[in-house]
Amino acid sequence: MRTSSFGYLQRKSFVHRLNPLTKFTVLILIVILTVTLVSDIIALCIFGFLLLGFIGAGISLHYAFGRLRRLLTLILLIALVQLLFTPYGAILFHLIPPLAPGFGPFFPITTGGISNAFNLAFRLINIVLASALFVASTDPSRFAAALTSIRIPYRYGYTLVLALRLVPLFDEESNTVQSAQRARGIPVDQGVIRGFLRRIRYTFMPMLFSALGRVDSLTLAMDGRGFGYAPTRTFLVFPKFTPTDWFILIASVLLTGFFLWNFLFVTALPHIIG
Amino acid sequence: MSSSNASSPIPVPLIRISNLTYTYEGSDKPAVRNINLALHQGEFTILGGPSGCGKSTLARCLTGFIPHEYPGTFQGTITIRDQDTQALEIRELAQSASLIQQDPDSQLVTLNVTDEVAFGLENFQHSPATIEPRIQWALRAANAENLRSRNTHTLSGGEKQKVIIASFIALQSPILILDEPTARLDPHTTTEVLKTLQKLHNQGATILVIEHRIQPFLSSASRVLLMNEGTITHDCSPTQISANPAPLNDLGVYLQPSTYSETIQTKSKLEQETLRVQGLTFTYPRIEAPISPRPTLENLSFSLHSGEIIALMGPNGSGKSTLLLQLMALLTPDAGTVHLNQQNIHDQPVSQLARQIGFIFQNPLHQIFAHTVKEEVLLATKHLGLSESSEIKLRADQLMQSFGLLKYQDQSPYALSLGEQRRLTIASILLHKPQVLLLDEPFIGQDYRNVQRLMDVIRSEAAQGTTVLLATHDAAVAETYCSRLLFLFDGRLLIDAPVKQGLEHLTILYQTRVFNELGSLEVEAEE
Repeated sequence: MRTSSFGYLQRKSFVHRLNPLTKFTVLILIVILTVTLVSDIIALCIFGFLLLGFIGAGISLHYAFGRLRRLLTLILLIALVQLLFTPYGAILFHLIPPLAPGFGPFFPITTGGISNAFNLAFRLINIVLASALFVASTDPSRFAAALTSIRIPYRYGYTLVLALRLVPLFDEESNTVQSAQRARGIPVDQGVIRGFLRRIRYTFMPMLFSALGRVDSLTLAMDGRGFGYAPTRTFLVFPKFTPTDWFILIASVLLTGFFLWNFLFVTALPHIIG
Repeated sequence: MSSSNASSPIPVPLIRISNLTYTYEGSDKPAVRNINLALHQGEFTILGGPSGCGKSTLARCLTGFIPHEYPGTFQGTITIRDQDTQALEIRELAQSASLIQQDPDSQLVTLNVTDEVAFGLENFQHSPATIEPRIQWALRAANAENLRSRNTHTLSGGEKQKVIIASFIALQSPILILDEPTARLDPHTTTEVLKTLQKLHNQGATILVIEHRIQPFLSSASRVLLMNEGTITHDCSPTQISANPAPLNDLGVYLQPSTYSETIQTKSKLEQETLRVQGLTFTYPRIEAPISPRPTLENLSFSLHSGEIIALMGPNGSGKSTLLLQLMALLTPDAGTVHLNQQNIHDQPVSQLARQIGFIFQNPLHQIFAHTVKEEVLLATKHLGLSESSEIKLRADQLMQSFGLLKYQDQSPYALSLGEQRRLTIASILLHKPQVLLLDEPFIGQDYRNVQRLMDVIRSEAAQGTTVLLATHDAAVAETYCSRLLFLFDGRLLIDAPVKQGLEHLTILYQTRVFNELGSLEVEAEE
């Protein structure tokens, strides 16, 4: 049986045992830091922290970098744009040398461009890895339960559970539809743009109707087991906050606060004020 | 349960249906008509009938999904324990009647078995202290205690079905309705699910099973209902229907024995080899498991000949679909080769191979791409380089005619019923007369009348030299239409024999519980 590459991986690790809200908070803080701070050092620190997270969760780095493979093209494309169009920094060379007097050179590659491309790619990689670590180490049902403790209705929590439950199914189904296209001789692989458009066209309808059928079935299965019977529900296992959770929460909030304060009042603000 | 139970007086009906007629919104024909029925506590009822006769609609009416979630015209009344289903909300009705649908994958909400069984109880606000014993009870009753610590995505089809059954019976609603619970299951797993139902019935559950193919359930049931065109046509005991199966024939829910296989069997030996598989081995790459998992296909070798119709059988997860994908070059083997007419199939692109090999996937929705039925049938002219000649157009019309699709030719294929969509996918593959036909369980959810209709066409293609490899769980279909049996178990080819011999061999294997032992060994190995 083909297995999908998304979703929660059951392990008995320290990271898995943490309260889902702790992990979610750390994820949000990493995203805030990554988006706000343009610093190679911080990006590298976060990257190292995430690698430790994967090891601590008992999830192989092979898996971790497998998550990146799907987004690698996008990340490289964004880095390339930075590389080609960042105007500041010392010019190292031109991608297109002068072709004739008065024509060229074009696309200067600058130290600023290299730094920007590297930094942006690194930050995107960190966001993807952080999300992958959260998803792989957090049982969505426990996350849904934990969300109710901060007064988020369980219906919203279960939206996430269902998303994580259905994504692998849709992923598998999308593979089947693509196989069916090839088996019918539809040349979805020919031509980058035409192939892409053809794939969209011939994938959308089969996936849509198939998804509608699944959703219909799932709705009956959930309603038939009383989902939405009352505004609140019980949970067989309700994640509790342990001293470790509190320690991680406080430490990560303080660290984030320190980095942001340092950025705003030590680096950025004096620079802006002049 | 014996048929004598049906005749014993049971005074108070658990469900009473009075003058029920229901028409779906947008339809001018009622899906169920004028139904009057009483179901009693402790009955095990089978509801049979051809595809589209209204069985599933009746099940939805009984559980309140109709009229609450499906707009339409609802007339008459249904009461469960004297409570009108129209007056109650579905969530309230869920405590009285549970509906288990065909596809367990589409019903699993959570990621592990314990959470799945607890799901309904949590919704009804049971405390963890009461949920825990209920989970244990439900898993034991569903013969699924050994699955408790498993993740739902690692379960086989039959195991998923058992978990779904456990999750519904945990609610202890008095009525359990199962809509084609074994349609996707192999015979061994079907027997397992059947045992589960028998056990529940012995514990006092009221069970209604909806099935196209009612034979496997006859020995367990106490009552048989047959439907046709929206009405109940027969209400009898299993003994009566076993003694006189004529109504089953009339409704197309019984497969007539045939001597076809014997004739083809002799003929196929003389025909030329089309497909040769040698040492085929394949393992799905698993990104989360760096250690090498077991191969899905292991060292398979066999040949297929022109004019043969071969049944490809094996338990759920034994590698049947993977083998078919390999034969279409949609997967690349780790070792071994597949040759079509002495040419390695990987030496040409799949789009070119598609002219010689036609592939029918399990779910017709996955391979319907055009906007109208006619365009779908003619899709090969667009992508396989066939000219849209008058000859091709004539063949398209003939195919649509023989599959009963001509009247829908300008309609969207997505507006067709499942049976019609299945016929459409086969028609569109047959247009360009591929040399080999690969069919992956094409008869799920189809009654025998539809099966016969499709197989008649496929048989005539085979008579003209097409090689047909048909993955199926249905031994009756294999025996009736196929000349040879390939049986896969855990990725290995266990049987390659003429169909009668093969099925006899298989029966012995099942009777001696070889699969049980092998299966439990596999589970131990995985754990």
